[in-house]
Amino acid sequence: MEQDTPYSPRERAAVNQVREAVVWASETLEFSHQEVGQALGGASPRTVARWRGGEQRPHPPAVVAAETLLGLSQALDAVFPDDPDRMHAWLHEPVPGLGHRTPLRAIVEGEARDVLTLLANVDAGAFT
Amino acid sequence: MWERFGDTARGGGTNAVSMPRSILTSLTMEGARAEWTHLAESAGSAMGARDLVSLVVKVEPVLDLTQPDAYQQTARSAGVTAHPAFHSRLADVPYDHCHALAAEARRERFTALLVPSAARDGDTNLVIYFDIVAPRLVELDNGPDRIPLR
Repeated sequence: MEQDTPYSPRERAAVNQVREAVVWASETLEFSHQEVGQALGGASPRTVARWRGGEQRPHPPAVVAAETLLGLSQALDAVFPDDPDRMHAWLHEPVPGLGHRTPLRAIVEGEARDVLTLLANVDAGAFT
Repeated sequence: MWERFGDTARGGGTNAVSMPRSILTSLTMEGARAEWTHLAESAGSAMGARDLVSLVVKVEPVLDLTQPDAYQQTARSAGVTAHPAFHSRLADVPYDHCHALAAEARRERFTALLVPSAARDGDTNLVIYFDIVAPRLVELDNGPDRIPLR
């Protein structure tokens, strides 16, 4: 069994990162495991459940995607501090800078980095 | 000098974390407002209430990329082909091109850049890099104006 093989420190960090991203996407974005799997580069709900339990090593693309999701978590906190209602309203509204998709749709379609860039620009006031 | 989102104590409108640290300003209030409007329209309701503030800036050396000769020379040094829309419609110029120019200017140790505004044709923005190791001069003070933007 895979979980019987000890994780190296690097693998443990990857497992924890993906698990944290799965929990955040499930609880804060209210994604199903199927949607989380799509956001993490294409994984089945069963695999996502195993990642959430720390029972399976994530593949490298999922680790990268998880890092982006966790960055997105921080960016949302920065742009919507102590205002979850406003944050959720924005996540569900069509946004011109995302091709008039909702941020949630963009994330599920694997484009969380575009959402992150948009929020970083808003937070920083960067000229676009 | 107009800067959109804050003041000198807050750091104001700076580049995103993945970019060199800078303060992004416009030479006119109208230019700064156009930049804010462009970003606000792109971001939807994520853009909350902000203030447009004036700044008093002393900075050197400044690379003036609104001048065709300086632009052509910087593009050559950066190894990129001059873009025909750079001075007429910057919104049509790819980000990579602008980033290459900025990287070259920083390599040549300029502290600030004058560049055309992508949000308002004919206007000019001043990008101030405050992370340059040894700028000859960067002085920023709050100006007298603070205008709420909604």
